Amino acid sequence: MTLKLRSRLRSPAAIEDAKQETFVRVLTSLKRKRSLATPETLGAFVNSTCNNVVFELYRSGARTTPLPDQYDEADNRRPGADSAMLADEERALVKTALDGLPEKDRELLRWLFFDERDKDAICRELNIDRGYLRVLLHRAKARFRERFADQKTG
Amino acid sequence: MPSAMDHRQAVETLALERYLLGEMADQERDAFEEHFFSCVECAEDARAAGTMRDAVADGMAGAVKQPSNRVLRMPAPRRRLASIVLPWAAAASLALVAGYQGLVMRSGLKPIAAPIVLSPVTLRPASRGEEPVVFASAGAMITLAVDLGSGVMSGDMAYEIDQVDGGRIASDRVSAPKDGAPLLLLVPAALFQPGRHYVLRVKNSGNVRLTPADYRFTVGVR
Repeated sequence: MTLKLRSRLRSPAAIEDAKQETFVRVLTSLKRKRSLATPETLGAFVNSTCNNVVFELYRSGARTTPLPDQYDEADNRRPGADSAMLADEERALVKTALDGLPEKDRELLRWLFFDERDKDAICRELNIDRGYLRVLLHRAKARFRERFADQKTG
Repeated sequence: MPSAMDHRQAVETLALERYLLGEMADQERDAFEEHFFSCVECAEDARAAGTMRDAVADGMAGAVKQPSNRVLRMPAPRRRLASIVLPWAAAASLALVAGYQGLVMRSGLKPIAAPIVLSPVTLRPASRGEEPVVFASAGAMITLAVDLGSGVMSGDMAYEIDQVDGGRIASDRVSAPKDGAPLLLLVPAALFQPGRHYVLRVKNSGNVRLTPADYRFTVGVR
């Protein structure tokens, strides 16, 4: 859901709010109905609830005075000690998995997601086309996923 | 309602990679999201990809975050005045350049007895529109008019011209043009190879009013 919301909402606080609101609505609805007609539809139900929440956020945003583009309010909410510890552990595992990737993979990922370089420029630099860029990303992601899973299972 | 995407389609079309690269149209994006919310395998893949992307964006792939040094590819919106003034400023500056060529550069070039018409190509930051194609103009020179926006007032700036797949063509530190005027460069065509891609980078070098940017162009084959 975070992946989906990132493509639609700007600020981390708005993403977190939308996530929480979606969960609240899904859980409230499930509690009221006591069950889902078919368990397989849970994902689709969460997705459509999330869509509704995003549309409502857009609509409420249109009724208020927008803040400047650069404004990003500090998120002052602090996680509890347990969740902070878990998050730190997770970050360490992610870091180790990333460090274990070949340098070429890490460089490509940095260009794409850290430097946010123009994809066509990356293709020109690597002398590849957009189709092959997807393949390179696919391979880097597969290697990351494998290493991350290894880290988690110890 | 978006038309549904099945698992085979998602895998065969590298849907997640295209999603991460922002290559999907809205309808396809919605269809893919609907799919990965219902497909355990794709959901796991999307979760791992999201974790990886966020970690890289946080600088965990070995990069040190230095926002002030990062090249901005989308400068802040400019006043409309700049785009109106630009062609006139370019024309006036070109007249000066042509005059300069006639008076000062005689020793290196063949004597110029008549006005020269130059055909500058206006370069704008890389993300705005298609990559322009430039051709050598009179005197085998390539004339570039670099749109710096309206924020630059004075002071120094630096530029570099590189071939995209390696090799520096030129670089220098120059006085920044006045507000609204483009940076005009006459570069000998012999430095370029026709059909290749080039990038011109402007750096502020302490000139805080200048937005660093990449300007891409291709040298055309006549």
